[in-house]
Amino acid sequence: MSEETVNTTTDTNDDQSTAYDESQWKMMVRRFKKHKLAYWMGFVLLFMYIVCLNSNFIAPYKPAKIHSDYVNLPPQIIQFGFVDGYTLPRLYVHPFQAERNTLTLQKEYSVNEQKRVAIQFFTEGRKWYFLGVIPCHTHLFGVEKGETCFLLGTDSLGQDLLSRILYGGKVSLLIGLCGVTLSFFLGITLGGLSGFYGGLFDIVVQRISELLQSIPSIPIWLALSAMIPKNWSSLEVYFAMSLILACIGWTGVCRDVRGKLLSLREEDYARAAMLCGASEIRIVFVHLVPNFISHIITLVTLAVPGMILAETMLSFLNLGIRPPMVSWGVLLQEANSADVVANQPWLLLPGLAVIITVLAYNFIGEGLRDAADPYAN
Amino acid sequence: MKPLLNVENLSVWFPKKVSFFGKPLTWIKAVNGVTFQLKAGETLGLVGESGSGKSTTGYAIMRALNPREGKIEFCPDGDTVYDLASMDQKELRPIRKHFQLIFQDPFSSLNPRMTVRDLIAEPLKVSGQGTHKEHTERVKELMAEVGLNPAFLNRYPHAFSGGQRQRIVIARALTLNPKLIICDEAVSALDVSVQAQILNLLMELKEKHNLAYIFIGHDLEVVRHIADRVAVMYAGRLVEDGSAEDVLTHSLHPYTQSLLATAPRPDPHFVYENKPLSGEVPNPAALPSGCVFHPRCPVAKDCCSEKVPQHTQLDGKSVRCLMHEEDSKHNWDESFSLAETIQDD
Repeated sequence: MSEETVNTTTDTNDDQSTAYDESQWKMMVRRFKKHKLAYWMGFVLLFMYIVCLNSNFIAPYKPAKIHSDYVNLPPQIIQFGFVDGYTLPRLYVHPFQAERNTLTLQKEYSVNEQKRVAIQFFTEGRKWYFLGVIPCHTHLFGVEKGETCFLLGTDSLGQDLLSRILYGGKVSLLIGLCGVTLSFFLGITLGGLSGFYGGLFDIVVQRISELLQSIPSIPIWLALSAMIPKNWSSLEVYFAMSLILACIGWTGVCRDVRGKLLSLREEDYARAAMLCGASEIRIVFVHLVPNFISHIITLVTLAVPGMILAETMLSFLNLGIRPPMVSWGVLLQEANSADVVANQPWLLLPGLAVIITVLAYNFIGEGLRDAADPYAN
Repeated sequence: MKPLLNVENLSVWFPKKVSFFGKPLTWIKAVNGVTFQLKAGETLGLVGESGSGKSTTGYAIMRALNPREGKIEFCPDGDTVYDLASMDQKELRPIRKHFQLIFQDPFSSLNPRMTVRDLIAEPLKVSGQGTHKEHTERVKELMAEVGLNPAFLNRYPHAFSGGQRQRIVIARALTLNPKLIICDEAVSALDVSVQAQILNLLMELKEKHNLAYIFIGHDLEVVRHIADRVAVMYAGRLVEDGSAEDVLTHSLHPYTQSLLATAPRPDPHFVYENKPLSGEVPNPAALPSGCVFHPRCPVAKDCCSEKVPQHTQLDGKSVRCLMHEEDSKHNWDESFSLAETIQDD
């Protein structure tokens, strides 16, 4: 009889009733927040996106700007203290000075410990367009005219690595999203239709996706990338790339959506809805879709790092994004020698950026997956 | 007065092997020639072993499955007769409000993403009656009726226990004032104490709304408690059909007798005299010849594997057993009666 009493007593305990009134979405958010690592990785990722998407504002130089006097400089260390000409203490760096070695005639760099170059915030600099239209000159930070700062060092052409990582991140982070959007659009549409209608359409779509899945992906990517005309602009190449990634990426999504739809259709509650007279459209959109949308979100999150890695790999093989456009893959390709590892290890920093992004996505995906499972405790 | 439900010669077959061109070669014969009638306000218990086709019969009446042949005449208002077996899903939609199904598992039959309000109001919403506010009123009314606190309106199914969920399912089934509710093992997934509550609720509701139930179950005590009439199924066929008391105490068919003899009794000293049935329900793709029960029947004779028994009316019951048919009765003349040996009380 214990149940009877629960039913009849009006328990108006506020905490409890709010917990019980929670929708699946609220529950998912709450569970996700409990997954500390995933939650904080979310902020890390958000930070990466904000920084990279605002590279025009944040990066001190254009990615292709060549400082021929400052080649292969190591990262500078930011320090805090008094700088000549300023009353208040502030951030500064010691500049590099170049000297010609009289024996080898090689340029050698040394840190000028006496001189301090103040880092100024919101300085005027090269022109860029806010939201692509409003011309701006302000940058997050910079140094006085005539001085230079390369916080993460420079590469063999004297290009600022920090700027290149930021601009490259814009391409790398977005190509993942573009590719995933496209592949999910294709995958969900085809998978949804073939799961829902079945029959011949289902058979054809499934056989095509099996065929695509059975061919090793790297050769397909290589072949498709090789088809991109050499005279295309960077932007065209970029979209061609995301299309190529999506071409293979959709098959997995398609199978997943189809399988999910087929299994959910057999659920008792879908049947119950059918038996109380609901139309097929209503069953799909009111009953089935909300029940697998969280699954799709998780899938998307877990698919993005794959796309980013694929882009990085293709660019590394010189088949993806081409200079002067930069991406993390392009940067890593340039750092592709034993000499770099031995003498300019800072040029491998884009690899660190890739690792952080991929890890962050994977942790978030894992957190979402745990949070989306309605039957987990 | 026409009966509420008149099922005639209902068969449900599933294709097992399909030829290259999609033509079925062999069939799984889940339900074969089931015939029964149900009056308004009456409860029919449908019992049998797992795989005997009782749930399939229920689903076929609900038209969640397509029957292969037969008639399902449904007469919700005592006047218009619909043949559910020959209507397509679109035609069925408007009359679905008259007959509802309660699933066995209250955990899977409620959409976890919908609130109790939306779940119970769904039939109203689908049939396009009333406003949002009217729906909410009706939901509150129904929740009170099935013993749920109407304040829990906006909760999600995950906040409820199994018994409470089954109450939600019942409330939803009642939303459109149906005439017939098919309960597919509606209490099997619940605790025994909760089972009793749900059974009592079902019986209360039946009195109140003059509902007819088809109560599918394997627990004979539960069925005895709720049913007015009992139909026993074996391998897709009805073998015995009659009033609950009659069938469950003075059964005529050897299968029903074995079923009753092996049903657990709440008495530790009870000695089960009869051996439990050996073997299993026959493969519905290759049913035995003659009487489908003959390979397991304790009193089978040679004629049982040759002749298909027909419905015989006897003592107000309908039995399908050659032992009770006029023409073949003489085979059992040595006056052996299983009924006497196992039903000593």
